[in-house]
Order: sequence, then C-alpha cells, then structure tokens
Amino acid sequence: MTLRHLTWFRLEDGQWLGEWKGHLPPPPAHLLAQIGDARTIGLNAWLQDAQRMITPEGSPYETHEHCWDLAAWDDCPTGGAVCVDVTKFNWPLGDQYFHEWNTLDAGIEYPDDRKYIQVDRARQYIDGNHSSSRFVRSTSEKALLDITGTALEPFHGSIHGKLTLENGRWVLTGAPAHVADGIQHALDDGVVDIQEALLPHKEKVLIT
Amino acid sequence: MKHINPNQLWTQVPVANRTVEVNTKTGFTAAVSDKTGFSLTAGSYTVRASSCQRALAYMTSVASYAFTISAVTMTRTHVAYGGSAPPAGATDWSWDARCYLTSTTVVTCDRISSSSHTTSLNFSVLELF
Repeated sequence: MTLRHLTWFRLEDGQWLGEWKGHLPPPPAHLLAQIGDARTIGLNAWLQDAQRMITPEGSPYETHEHCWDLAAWDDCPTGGAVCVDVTKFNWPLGDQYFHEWNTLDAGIEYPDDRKYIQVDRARQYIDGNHSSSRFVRSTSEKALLDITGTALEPFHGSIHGKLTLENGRWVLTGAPAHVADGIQHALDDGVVDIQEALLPHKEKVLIT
Repeated sequence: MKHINPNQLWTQVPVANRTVEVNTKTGFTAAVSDKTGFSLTAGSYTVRASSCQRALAYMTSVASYAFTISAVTMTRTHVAYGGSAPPAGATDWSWDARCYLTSTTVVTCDRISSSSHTTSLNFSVLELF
C-alpha cells in the first residue's frame, strides 16, 4: 500500500472541494518500470482510477484523514472536478483549502497570502504578524487570528503590543503611533474575537 | 473571499442521509465519486508548489520567542531573517537576534544578549521542492 494525499478542485472555478489522505494499492509494477511520458501517463491513469472510489461517504481504502466542503461536492456535476496528488508536499490535511486549480495551466495556483496575527495567550501580547497561503494553526501558547479581508488587514506588519481589557473593551498599547488609532478602531468593531483567542487552546473539533 | 475557522473544516458525513450507489464491479458499497470524469491521462500533468511565509516578530525583554507557522518539511526549508535597526546613536548589541526552525510549525527567535529593549525581526520561511 502506498500513502497518498489527494485533493479535489472544481474545474469551473478552481475551488477546493476536499482532501483525503490514506493508503492506496500500489501502482502496477510494469508502470513503475517505465520512464518518461509513458510513466507519467500510466501513473496518472492509475491515480484517476483509484480516486473514483473515494467520496465524502467513504472509500474502499484505508483512510487516515479526510475533510470536505460537502455542499460544494454535492453541487459539483459529474466531470466537473479534478483530482490531484499533493503527497509530495507533506502538508497537513486541509492546507490546500485556499488554493485553486488552474485548468489551462493544469496546475495549482497559490493566491495571495493570508494575513495572520499571533497572540501570546499567557502574556496577552500580539507578538507576530504572519503571511502564508496556508493555514497557520493555533497552539496552546499562541493563538493565530486570520485577519484577511478585515479592517485590520491594512495594518498588517504594524499590529503588535499589549492587550488589556478595560471596561469590557480590548485596548492595544504599543503599536506604532501613526496606526494605533486605526488598529484600535478595528478592534473596537470586533473584527477579531480577542476573548475567544485568549481562551485555553481547544483541540481540533470534529463537526458531526 | 474565503474566511473560515480551521476547526470547522473537518467534517464527518452523515452517511445515512445520503444516497449510496453500489459498485457491483468491486463489491464495495459506496458512492462512485466520478466527480472528476475528467481525464488527465491523455497527457501528463505535474503539480508544482512553492511555499513562502513571511513574518514580523516582536520581541520585548524575553530571551527566546516561538512563532507559529504553516507546517513545513524541515529538510526542505530555509529561514532567512533580519533584525531591526536600533535608534540613532544606540550602539549596544542588545538588538541582535537570530531565527531558526525548531519544529515543522515553529520558528524560534533568540536574542543574542539580554535587554529590555523591544525589537522586531523580519523572517521568511522558504520551502523548496
């Protein structure tokens, strides 16, 4: 058996449909003995045959992890998706979520980075501003807040300082003076949930 | 614009509520996906990727900081960093620091010497395939 990480994208707009990680039966030995285009074509055919049996409901293969956009999967017509093998990247399941399939180029696009701020839970201190096209996951010590598309995003790179709760309002002190007001207004508008971020870290939750 | 909580991404499927087809060829009872129907087998395709993460880390008086990043493969990853310039006239070394990868999801930044100065570091994490 061979461990594979597969991702499905909708052909129409390249949107992510789901991911699956598990063991597939190995490709036939005669395919592995080939080289060049014949090998690539053969392995592509093997993968496409294998993936047809994988669905959100289950598969005949040993599944390690899977995650899906169920509504998008159900809406996708037959022939409306592509399955690609992303095993070699060794990224966690779900990390392809913000990526898109480019049908013309037959490849995955990595759109603009997401913007994150990092909050040190114990010190109630924003101590990092991150950019990544993938998820940055919170830990027991650090809460990662995705500020992409929020009123905080324009200030990315300048958001840092001590958070204190004053009369039910989170106040940030220590940010550069020329952006402090803008950042504080965004916090006042509740674009991120500081209270939730400072709660003890919760492990990944399965939605049933 | 997609905006989701990663904790909400993992889903389990209520199988009982869904129509399940039977694939008699293999004897396995499951839906035949065939969402693809699209064949890449007529030619070749490759999946390329690059992974570049950028960050600005703020250090106060603490000697060592951990910064969380998207998961990378450590043997493929290079971390580059640069410290902030001290204010005009400052000459001490307390601003100096370094960054390095300590796990697949953590970049650690250490101060070279103790200081109460707050300083910032830019670092980028490049994963090479």
